[in-house]
Amino acid sequence: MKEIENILTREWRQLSDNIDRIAPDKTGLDMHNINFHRHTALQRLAARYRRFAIMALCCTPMAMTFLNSSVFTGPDRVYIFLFYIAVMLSAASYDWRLYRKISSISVADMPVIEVLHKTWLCRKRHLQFIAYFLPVDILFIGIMFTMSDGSISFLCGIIAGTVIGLIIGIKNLRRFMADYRKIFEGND
Amino acid sequence: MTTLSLSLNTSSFLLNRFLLFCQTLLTHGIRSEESDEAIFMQIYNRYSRIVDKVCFTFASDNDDYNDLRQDAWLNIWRGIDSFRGESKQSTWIYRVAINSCVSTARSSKKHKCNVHIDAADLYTAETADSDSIERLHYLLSCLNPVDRSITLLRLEDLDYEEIAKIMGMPRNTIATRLRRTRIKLTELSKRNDI
Repeated sequence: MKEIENILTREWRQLSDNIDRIAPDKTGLDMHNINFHRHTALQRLAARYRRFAIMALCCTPMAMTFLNSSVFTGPDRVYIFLFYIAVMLSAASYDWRLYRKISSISVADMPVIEVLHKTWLCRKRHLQFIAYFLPVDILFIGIMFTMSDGSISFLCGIIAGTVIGLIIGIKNLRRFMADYRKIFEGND
Repeated sequence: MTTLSLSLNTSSFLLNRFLLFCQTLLTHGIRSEESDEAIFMQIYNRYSRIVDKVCFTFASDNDDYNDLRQDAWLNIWRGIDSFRGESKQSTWIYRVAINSCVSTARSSKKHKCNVHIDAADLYTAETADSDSIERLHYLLSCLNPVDRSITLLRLEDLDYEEIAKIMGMPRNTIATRLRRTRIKLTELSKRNDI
């Protein structure tokens, strides 16, 4: 066991020596090349969630079209209207919550394990959000289908979308949970 | 009477805030753009190698490596104000650089064990030791981010206390994880005949 440590230490020293030896311009990035106006990966991610939250909020008034639609009749219009508003508002609030969580990560102040926990928690919440909203969305489309006059192409679209969405979602969730367990095993 | 006491309280609060603001200005002065740049330049010249090594450990290819370095330096630049001097400056740099690398969202597919970095070419251009550096990167890339960070800090000759401070974990956990990592790396190098 000690042997591997010695090998790694030796190779690490070699790397360090090479880094010390190399001229700054050969590393591809020197002080003057740093773009200070750029956003970091975390800032970009937070901005994306904020954008989605705002988009979902902006889409909410579109529910008015269901009230005036000729496809739906009677109280169905109101049910669809309310369902759509509930879906959009919960999507917006969830995205906003994730935006706030990611914005609260401070890489300059927090220890590594806290940053890791927070970023992984955000990814977990993101996947939970998908897992929760996928059936809700399918239900919404299903309700729309049953309440409308219906067509075979619409039905095929719903079935294909459901199957593909579920396969991708479950695969990602399983991979993520395996990674998550691997990272935090053995932490006190 | 209540209104009077309320307005007195409010004005005393505002006066206190104003005095506090004046005191802050007098103590620290208004930090100019030039002084920020001077501090940053100093940090860059002194610690750029630390950032290079951390980013090398976490990068999966050249583009990734440059992105990680950009992010790390941006975070250092933006976090200079929050450095309170409670720990060594190098400890803080390690923390920010590692945090920048681990918080960058990447697909797990890209970070599979079999990634070989071209960035090693950058460091081996003038020597003939590219194999050993690639092997080092390969072994480190097989570890999860926590173990990789701990191993990296240990290779940098940091003591357990300092590693525990950077990682935010108890000292005993660091020792346990290092022991497990050693076993894992030994098995890996045997399996791959390295």
